Amino acid sequence: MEVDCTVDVYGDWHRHFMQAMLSQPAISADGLKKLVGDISGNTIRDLDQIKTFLLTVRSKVHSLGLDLKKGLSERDGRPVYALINTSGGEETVACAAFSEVQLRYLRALIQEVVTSVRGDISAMAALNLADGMPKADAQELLRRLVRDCWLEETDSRLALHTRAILELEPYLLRHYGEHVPRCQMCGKITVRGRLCEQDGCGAKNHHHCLGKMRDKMGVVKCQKCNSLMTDED
Amino acid sequence: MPRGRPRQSQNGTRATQDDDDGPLSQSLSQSQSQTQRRSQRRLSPVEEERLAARVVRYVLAAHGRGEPLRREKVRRLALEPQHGGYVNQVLQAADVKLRDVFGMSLEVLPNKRDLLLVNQLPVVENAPPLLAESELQKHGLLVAILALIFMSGDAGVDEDTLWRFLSKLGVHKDHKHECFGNVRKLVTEEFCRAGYLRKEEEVVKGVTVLRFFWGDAASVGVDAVDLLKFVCTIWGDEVEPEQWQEQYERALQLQEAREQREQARQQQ
Repeated sequence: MEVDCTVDVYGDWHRHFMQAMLSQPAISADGLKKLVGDISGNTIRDLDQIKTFLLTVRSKVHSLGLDLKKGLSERDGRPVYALINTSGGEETVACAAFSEVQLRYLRALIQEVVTSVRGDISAMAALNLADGMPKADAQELLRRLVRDCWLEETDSRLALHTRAILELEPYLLRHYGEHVPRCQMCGKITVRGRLCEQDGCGAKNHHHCLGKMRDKMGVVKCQKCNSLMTDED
Repeated sequence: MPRGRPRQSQNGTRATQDDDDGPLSQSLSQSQSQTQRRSQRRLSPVEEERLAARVVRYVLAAHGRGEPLRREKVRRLALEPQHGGYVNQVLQAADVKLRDVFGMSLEVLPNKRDLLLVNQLPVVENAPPLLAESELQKHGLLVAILALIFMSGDAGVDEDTLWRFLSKLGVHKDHKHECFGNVRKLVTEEFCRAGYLRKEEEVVKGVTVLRFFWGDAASVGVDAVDLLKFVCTIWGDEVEPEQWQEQYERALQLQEAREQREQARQQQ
């Protein structure tokens, strides 16, 4: 391994790391720790060093309109790190690598997922949204979107991946603001979450954030209208 | 496997440079200087930086999806219409960014139409794989095919030989492969479209067959000396790259062309 590599001066460790992030756009906290350890020949191990390493990476990639962001998975609340395009979201959705038909399909998918009650749709419903595209092509595109961490699939249901939410936040707020209110607890936008049942409240909070509140306080209370929420099934 | 054996004697004929490939020393910097001679106008540093970042984001996205990179597409999709005339300046700035941040260079292939991202970082032992599992396996298949063609010399490899070789590796052209899917399509279309392989049709006894050669992307992006070392490892018997005389000389020529491109770039 190169001897002149250091944690806080951008060098080949950081470049190796960025190359790795290109092939896996989203990575778990453990995965990230292992990756940085492997790249640096286990020189970078403790959390402070990893933080410094990530800061060095982030300040470098900002000038490219990219960022390495941490988000919590709406599925299980676990941290996910993702390399994202911060240029506004429109560019991503209008991403040149998609054809017009694919793009229309992608926009329709996002709309359907975001405006659904649960924040996810069945794989079958997703396929049925394909317009002007053979089903086999739609299926292939869906596979690609899952592989590239735009969508995540759980029990044949498709939701937005944490990476997609991080990157598309400006796009989602602009087009579907009312459907993605900020969680009362973590302050992040909520696609998959629990709606407060109180009339006129409209608060939507992440399942994992509500779970944390229950663990801490024994009850789940809407932070907006203060009404008690019954346990989820 | 390759025809012939590693040579111990001096009888080998020198491998000739494939003229069809054109000079390999075409580089971004050279084509840029031509454009500049035509026009002294340049984008301001701020505009250059903004557009280079756009191009980098586009190139990375297209590369990630395994799409071939075309200069025309970059101009059309990543640049604004009024900046079309500055494509070389922006591509060169994007190359500098890509090297600095990702350790990858953006090469213009000899046909001047296609672009290629090439890793410039030293290979590190035990480093994590930089490709997703399925991409890694495809890459392995491609390297095996490139090695076969490289060892076979300038005449390329006919389809039959290629499929017989691959079947020994458990990859059959008419079977749907677990990882590669439609292998025939991957080899004869995808690898060719990406510029790593070049195919030519020839008629043998009234039947049209394909013959495969290294594509421009392979000549620019694959280190032939490393490939030869890899073949020696597989071959065993403590064979050294130098013993494959023809192939070694060809590998050195390719390496030299790389170094010349690099020098031209640095002089810019």
